[in-house]
Amino acid sequence: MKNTKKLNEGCLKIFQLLKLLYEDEAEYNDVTEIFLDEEYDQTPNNLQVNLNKYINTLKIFGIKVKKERNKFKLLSGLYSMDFTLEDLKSISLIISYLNNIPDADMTKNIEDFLHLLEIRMNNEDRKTLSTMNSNPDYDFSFYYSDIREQIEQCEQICKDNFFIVVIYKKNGKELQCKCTAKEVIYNSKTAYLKVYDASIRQNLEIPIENILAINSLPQKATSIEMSTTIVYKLKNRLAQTYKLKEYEHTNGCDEKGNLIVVNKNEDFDKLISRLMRYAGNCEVVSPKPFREKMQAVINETLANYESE
Amino acid sequence: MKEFLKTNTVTYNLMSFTGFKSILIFSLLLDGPKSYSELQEILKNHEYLHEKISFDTLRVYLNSLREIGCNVKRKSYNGVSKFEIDSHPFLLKISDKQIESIIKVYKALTHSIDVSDLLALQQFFEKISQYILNEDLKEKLSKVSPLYQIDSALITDLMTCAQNNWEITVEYNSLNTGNQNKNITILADKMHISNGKLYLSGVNSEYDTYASFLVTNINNIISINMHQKTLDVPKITVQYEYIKYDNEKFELLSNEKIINEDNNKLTIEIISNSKFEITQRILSHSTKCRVVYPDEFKSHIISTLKQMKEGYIEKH
Repeated sequence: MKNTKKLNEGCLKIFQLLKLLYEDEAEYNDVTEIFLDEEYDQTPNNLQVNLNKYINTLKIFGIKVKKERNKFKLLSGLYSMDFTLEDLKSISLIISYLNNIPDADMTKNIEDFLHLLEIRMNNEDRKTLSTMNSNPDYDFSFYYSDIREQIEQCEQICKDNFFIVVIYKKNGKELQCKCTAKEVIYNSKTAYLKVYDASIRQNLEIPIENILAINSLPQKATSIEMSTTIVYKLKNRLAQTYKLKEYEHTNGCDEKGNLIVVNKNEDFDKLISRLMRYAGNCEVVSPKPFREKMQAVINETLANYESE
Repeated sequence: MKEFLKTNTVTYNLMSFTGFKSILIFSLLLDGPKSYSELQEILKNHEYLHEKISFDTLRVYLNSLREIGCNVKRKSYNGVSKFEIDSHPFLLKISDKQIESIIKVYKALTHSIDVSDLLALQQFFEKISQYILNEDLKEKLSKVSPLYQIDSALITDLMTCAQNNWEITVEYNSLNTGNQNKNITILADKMHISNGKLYLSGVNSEYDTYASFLVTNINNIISINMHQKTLDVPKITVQYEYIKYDNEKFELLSNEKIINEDNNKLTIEIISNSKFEITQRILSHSTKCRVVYPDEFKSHIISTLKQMKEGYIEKH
């Protein structure tokens, strides 16, 4: 059955134009397509005049459009979202952090997100944001600055998705592992390359500054992972207050009220350092080699005081 | 456009009046529900339009808005039928790639900023998350902040108390004593995040000791004494040696300083009100660290390690 609903052509045209602008896909040819008259021949001049009429109409509503390299760009939008001063400060914080992130893809993704917000801001908010200086309490500028190039290489290696051999320094020794690169992690002031080493079934987080070389192998990496699962129990008050990490789940409490935590994918060195903090409130249950490793760390630390 | 609007004589050749009316109707419905008569009245009295538009024409505009993806709804308000826009195609849409990158940056920032900025950042992302369609990523984003699931009003109040060193009485779920909902009076000092959890530190008035209280265990603030008190708590100073590997970057805490560096051996001084905080710091360094001063704290670390060792002795 034919749809007989009456529609207003001018209304459809202006909103089709807005849709393209909001999706950042307003290529000149696609835009003119909207304004082509199917019934009458139009000279390019007429078409341009028609298009200008609609662009002018947007301007009346404060919707700013800029033409750049054969593409129309939206600078301010049809409506504005409510942003509090705290929101604007948060956005400003993200911007100042972003200025120091070496990863181009990540920067681009967040810049695109920030643009989406900016075109939904009213003039006042936009002005306030532009005048916000970076927070003097934080100086992110020195973060990662000395390893910027290495981080970029690691990001590329993650994207390439080949098996790699990483040669790195740990505890003063040179180590090497055949692994697959997963992602670059930004933690506090250090960046790590997270890799999966199938031979030991572990995820490792290698500080990028400790990496001496990475050699790519011709073999494509697979996504199959069989990580070692660590089970530990938490006792006393910690059992009741512990907040599970994103790579953890719990099997509930045992008969003594100890919380049984199942941990997958955490870097072993980081996990040991974390569990040591819990002192006598934590005990590794399995696997046996990891339990023994934890015991060895405790004994070795205690040995530092042997002469006391 | 001001140049041709300032005279109130709008030149038809320079703009699309249909487009103008379309955006105007869209904006009016976005502001709130309007009846046909109300829309008609506004358009009639509009300074550039002065145009009487029939109900049929208005219906055509509404159908056109629906056609481009606006969810135009008709509802009855006190018996009057009104139209409103529930959603439209220009709402914020955040792609999965963008959210994944946001999560990465957000995670890194949680380690580097103070509690008040973290709270603002969390509230900002809560606001934004309504525009995320991928439920998994939405959940991931919500769980990044260590302040997740803690009442933000309580955090704000506690922050104010800590900034002013006010004495507060809180209802505290004390797991140590098994005494639930115990009232504790604290001379508030600071809010801080440790190991992914939010704490209020201050002097426990009952025992006159400095302690850290898990904010998730604070049910509510019962009373606040707004007379600023002087926080006079003896600070603990501990010195420890740390063996650093060749290219290892040692990250000092704000309350730490290196007092000696001999090749790879660092001597670090840490000053804090909290013995617990220093103990955790020392234990996290494990084999690379040895307490040198004071003897009392050294003995405390040794006995803690012995207790940990005991925990691994298999009992048959």
